[in-house]
Amino acid sequence: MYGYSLFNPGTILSAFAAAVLGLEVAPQLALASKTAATAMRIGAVLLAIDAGWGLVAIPLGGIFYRLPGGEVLFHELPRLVFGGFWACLAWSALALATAAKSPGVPR
Amino acid sequence: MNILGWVMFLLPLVGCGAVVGVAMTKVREKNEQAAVFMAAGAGGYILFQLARRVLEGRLPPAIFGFLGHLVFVAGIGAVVFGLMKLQDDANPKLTQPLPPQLATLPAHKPNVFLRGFWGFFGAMGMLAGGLQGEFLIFTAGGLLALGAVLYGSYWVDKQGPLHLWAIQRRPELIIWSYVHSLTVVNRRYGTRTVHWSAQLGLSTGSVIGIPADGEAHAQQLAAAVYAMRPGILIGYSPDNMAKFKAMASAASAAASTGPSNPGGPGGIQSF
Repeated sequence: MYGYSLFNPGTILSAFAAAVLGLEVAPQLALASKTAATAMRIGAVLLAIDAGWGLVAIPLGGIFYRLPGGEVLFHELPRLVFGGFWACLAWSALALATAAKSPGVPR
Repeated sequence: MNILGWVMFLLPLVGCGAVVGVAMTKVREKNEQAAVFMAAGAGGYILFQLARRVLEGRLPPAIFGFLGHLVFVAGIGAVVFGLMKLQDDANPKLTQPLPPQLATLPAHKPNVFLRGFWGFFGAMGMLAGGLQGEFLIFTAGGLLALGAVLYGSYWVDKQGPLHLWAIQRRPELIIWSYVHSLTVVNRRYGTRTVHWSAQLGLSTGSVIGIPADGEAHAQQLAAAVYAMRPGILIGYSPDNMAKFKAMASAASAAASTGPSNPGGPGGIQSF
């Protein structure tokens, strides 16, 4: 509907990647930096929203399409969300790079 | 393509550019290899998308459709690998011997069946979409990329378990330990199973469990943790929970203002 399908390979792939990042990678990062883990979890949620845009399309697509310029906005919003996902990866890397090191490692 | 189209096309790439920027500045100072992986992952994705946009119409779309899924997964995988490498290299395994109860903890076995189970449904979904009119080559790329995601999930899980990482690499982060039991009641079969564990509260705010064979084993593990980190909070109580939260918040605030030892005083004991 509105050009989206839940059975698109990209949709399924993004959903799986979001699950791995949020449920497996984030807890590993939480050991050294809570901020890095939080950034990773937010990134995973954004990737899941990007993947699930087909679900959003069914209830909200009609509303967007009635607004002036809403059609373009509706189709471009996932790009913005996807950019936010990469920004969260950058935030996670920044938090991990600035986190306190083990006392066993020279600072 | 008009200006708005280019702006919207470049928006996700700005996020990728942020990863490259952080990798080449902040991460590179700490770990050269991790920075290379992260920059290559995000930078490769940017280059692929630009090439796709420039060469659109000149090459068969099936090529980009096939490669697109693989580049997406490879890009994220490289960034995650860089993050894990950065974390592990900054926190190497310590040479101090551990208490016997903690030194003999079993190795972690990732659950292959669970990944295969979900992977099967993911693959079926992709094939269903592919057979509805998508190019089959798109689906083939998706299936390969799905395999890569599942292997990545297996690899990340294999780096664990979380409690061994904390005990072997950052024991000074442990500020609380207590015995925990979880009772699972199955009404259909009338079974009642109690899962015992010793919980570790870290100054980063995480609470992770060490699975135990029973209550006595869980108590031994909690005692071994206390022997390794004397002076930490021991036993579960609302008071200890409040103290743990306060200590974790204080450690987080201290870590954000400068280099410090989030675990506070206590040190690591030898056995």
